[in-house]
Amino acid sequence: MGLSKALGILLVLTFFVFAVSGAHAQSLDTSEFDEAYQEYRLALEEYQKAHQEYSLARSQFLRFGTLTSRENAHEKTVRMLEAADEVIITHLRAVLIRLEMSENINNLQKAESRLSIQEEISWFTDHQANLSSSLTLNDLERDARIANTRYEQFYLKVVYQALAAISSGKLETFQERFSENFEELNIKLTNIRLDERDEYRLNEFELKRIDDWLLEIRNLVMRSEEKQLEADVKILELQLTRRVTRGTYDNLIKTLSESFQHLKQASLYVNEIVKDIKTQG
Amino acid sequence: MDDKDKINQAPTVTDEKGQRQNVNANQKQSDEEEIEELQKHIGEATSGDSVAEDLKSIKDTAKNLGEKLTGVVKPHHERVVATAKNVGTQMAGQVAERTSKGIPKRVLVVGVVVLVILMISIFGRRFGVSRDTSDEELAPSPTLTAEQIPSPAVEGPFIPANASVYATDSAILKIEEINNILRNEMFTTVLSEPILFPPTLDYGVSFK
Repeated sequence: MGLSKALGILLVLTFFVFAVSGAHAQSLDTSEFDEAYQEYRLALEEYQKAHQEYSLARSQFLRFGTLTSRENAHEKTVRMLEAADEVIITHLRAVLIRLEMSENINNLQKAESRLSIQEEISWFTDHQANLSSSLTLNDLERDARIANTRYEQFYLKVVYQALAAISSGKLETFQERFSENFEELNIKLTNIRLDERDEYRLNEFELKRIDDWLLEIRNLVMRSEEKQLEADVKILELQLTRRVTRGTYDNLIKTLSESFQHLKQASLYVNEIVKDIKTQG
Repeated sequence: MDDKDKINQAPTVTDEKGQRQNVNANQKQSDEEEIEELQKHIGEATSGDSVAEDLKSIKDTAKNLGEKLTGVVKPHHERVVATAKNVGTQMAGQVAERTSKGIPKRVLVVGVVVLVILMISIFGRRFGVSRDTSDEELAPSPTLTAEQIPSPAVEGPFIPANASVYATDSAILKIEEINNILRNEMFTTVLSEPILFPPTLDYGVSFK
């Protein structure tokens, strides 16, 4: 009696510890992302201010061409470019945390994305550090050009790849959860069919209708998986694409959404089957 | 010389007495004739003169006003009170007249009829001469029960009216619950990550 009581208490305690630790990890991840996202928003605000000042200083320099206006334009341009780099760095950090938080992303894909993001962070950090050593406006123009090329050819690609992987992971998580539940439903239906007792037996009409729903659900799941595969291919293609734009990403999201739509429909049909089982005649 | 002066002027003849009397008589007669003629003239003149007529009418009006204004003018509120008193006394008189006559016959007839109908209906209900729809009247007033009140969007397990043995089956209920949660999550989830879209930055620095 005493032993079983102790065992029970131990089980409860173990469950409690696991539950708390799991919840703690989840909240840590979320708070970490929130913090990183706030930093990014602040950096973006700073950049917007710096860009306004740069625009004013530039126009003054182009109008008057004095030494003072040149110095002012140089100072404001350096500040603006530094702020722009800061925006990119903080944004990449937020994306990285979001990626780490996401489930159902292929490990290899996640590792690749992580590496690419870190590479971009270090590149823009170096670029930011070197800006103050640019002595002339021409040097700054060159620095900006280099950063722009990096932004368009690498940064956008890395970010869209990571975002696509996150979205694909979300969809895959839903697919897994749905499949598990659908499997449970199939097991239950098999048991119902095998039940010999009169009051537990469903009539032929009900069984036929349930079979129709099941067929529809299987078709929808298959179509959803097909679309998911199509999206995965597109994500792989992103790596080979030289320049990834918003349009490329939107096209990918569209394919994922189609897959998602089939899954949503399938979940509605599961409800219909449950209603049929719970209703007599 | 004026006509009026002529009338008033006396004759100045100093001859003999008879002659003087004749003369005086003649003179008197002629004078009277002259006066009559003058009066005629004056009458004609005054009858055609509008100014004179106006003056006369003004005099008459002034006389009338004078007569009217001789009384004391009371203040307005006193006059109102006086009027009200008059009205009150008149109405009181009328009411008194009516009450003295008694209730009008028509009102009396209508009252009796209403009373009879009321009594018939009361007796009818008491002694079973009721309408066929008495059951409807006794039915309770419609009140919403807890089941009839639409519940908020919190979705519970579906309980059909003609429930089968599986309506309370734990495995089925679990499948239903998981599916409901999953469905709600799916319908509220956005696949893309709009808050993490790349920011637009201006790297096009140029001073030319």
